Amino acid sequence: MTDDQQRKLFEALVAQSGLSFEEGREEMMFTVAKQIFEWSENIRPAAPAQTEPATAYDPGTIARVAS
Amino acid sequence: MDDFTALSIADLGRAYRAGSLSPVTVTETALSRIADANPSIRAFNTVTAEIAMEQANMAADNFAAGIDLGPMQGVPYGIKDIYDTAGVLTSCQSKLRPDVVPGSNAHSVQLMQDGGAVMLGKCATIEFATGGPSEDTLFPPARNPWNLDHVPGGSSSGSGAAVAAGMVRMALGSDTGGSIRGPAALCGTVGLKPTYGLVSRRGVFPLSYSMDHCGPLSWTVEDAALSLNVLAGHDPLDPASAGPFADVDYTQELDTGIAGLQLAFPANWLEEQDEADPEVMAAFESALDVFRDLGATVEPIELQSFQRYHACGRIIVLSECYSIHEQDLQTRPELYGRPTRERIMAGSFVRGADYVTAQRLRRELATEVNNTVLTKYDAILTPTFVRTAQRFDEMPSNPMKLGGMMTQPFNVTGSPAMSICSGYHSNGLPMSLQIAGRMFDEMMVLRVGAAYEAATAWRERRPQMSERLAAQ
Repeated sequence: MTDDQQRKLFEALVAQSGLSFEEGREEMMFTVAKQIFEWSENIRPAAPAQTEPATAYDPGTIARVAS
Repeated sequence: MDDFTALSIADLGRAYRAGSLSPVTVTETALSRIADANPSIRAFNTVTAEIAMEQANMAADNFAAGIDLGPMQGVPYGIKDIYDTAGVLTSCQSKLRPDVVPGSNAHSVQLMQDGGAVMLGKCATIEFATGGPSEDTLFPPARNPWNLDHVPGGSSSGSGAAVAAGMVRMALGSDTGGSIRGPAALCGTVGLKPTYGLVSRRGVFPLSYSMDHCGPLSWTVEDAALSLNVLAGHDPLDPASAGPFADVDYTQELDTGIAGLQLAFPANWLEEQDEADPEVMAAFESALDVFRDLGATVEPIELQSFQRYHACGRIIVLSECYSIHEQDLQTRPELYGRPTRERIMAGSFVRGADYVTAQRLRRELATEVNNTVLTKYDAILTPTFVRTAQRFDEMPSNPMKLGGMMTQPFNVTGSPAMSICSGYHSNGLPMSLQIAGRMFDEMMVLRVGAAYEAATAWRERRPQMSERLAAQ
């Protein structure tokens, strides 16, 4: 995402949440949002999307399968 | 008054059972130490002296009557202030909860009580176990007993500080991204995050449903094992609880050594740490040499990037945490301290698609660690923190900066992971080593930690509390 796209997404998400920031903290929170947007681009699994069991992401199931 | 702070849980147990020491005396000493040191260290939000003396007398009566409830009988301990305690304020350090007094105990607190332990009080945390240290919360933040100008780590801040300062033998903590191991690392104690599902979270205020783990902080590895003997087990009322399991004595392999074990360290993760302190990294290299000298094989491995593990964990934690707090953030945001409010609000920037993608990646990463690396190796080693504790006045303004913790990956995978002390920096603060193992193989993690602890002299040093207090 470009910086401009990140800014628009940030503003949309803030509006959706109905939350407001302390005065003078908006730019810091935009920095935080950019960090999260970068994370979201770094978490694509190697495996393609496919039909998976509904419990596949339950951590209890992960723990039991892994053990 | 005699100083019993050097005695471990195991030492106390032997002395109690030999009749040479009374839980009443030890509890009085502990309360006296808290009275002296807590105004400076602020490890406790609430001290429950009356309950403590009642429980200490009960333990003494039990020993006299030949009743033995196990390794915690008569042992003074603290409880992170997000665990429910019947009749005692459970504040989560928050102005949203100034008068929340639960009617029942969290499952782990009940296990400790049933085992005859002596509750000294509620330990400071950072608000709702997230955010950062802030004076703008219901109680002030705990300080690091090694240097009061430095943070003790979070979020089990008071638990780590209380153990390091010798106020308690053990304290209950919780760990969602490193909140047991982080304070343990920065305060020089042992901190054990058990496998996801091994210790019940029932009655503990949630931060992130699928990442929260409960466990002990203690001074020694043996004390962590003794604590786990009491805390581990199936709880049918915690939906994430695994088991049921047969009872396990987690101390049984502590003395078996590590000759022949295969240990690994993720070399690419270390290269990614841009906040690494050279002295801490040198201490880690020295620790690897200790393991080699003890007969283990130590090899570098490569995993998917640390940032990928970290991002996966943070996306999940932020989403789940935001869902817990959204309504309060919308209706009474002014009651949160600013670091907490901003960190939780960051969850509103995570989209639903990101959360699901992170959960899919989580499964892939858990498989990489548990079903690939740990089928060949017995444990994975990293520093817990790649730096020492920051000063309060150096804490970053950005609420997302976590400052060199290497802990989040093992919340993502659910693996057991423990932090132990790996020496002392030239600035006088503790450094740390993290040991992670196979799912439900806490025995191996404790065995590796015990071997390192026995081969080094780091347990012989304690914070010089008398000098610190005199300087106040």
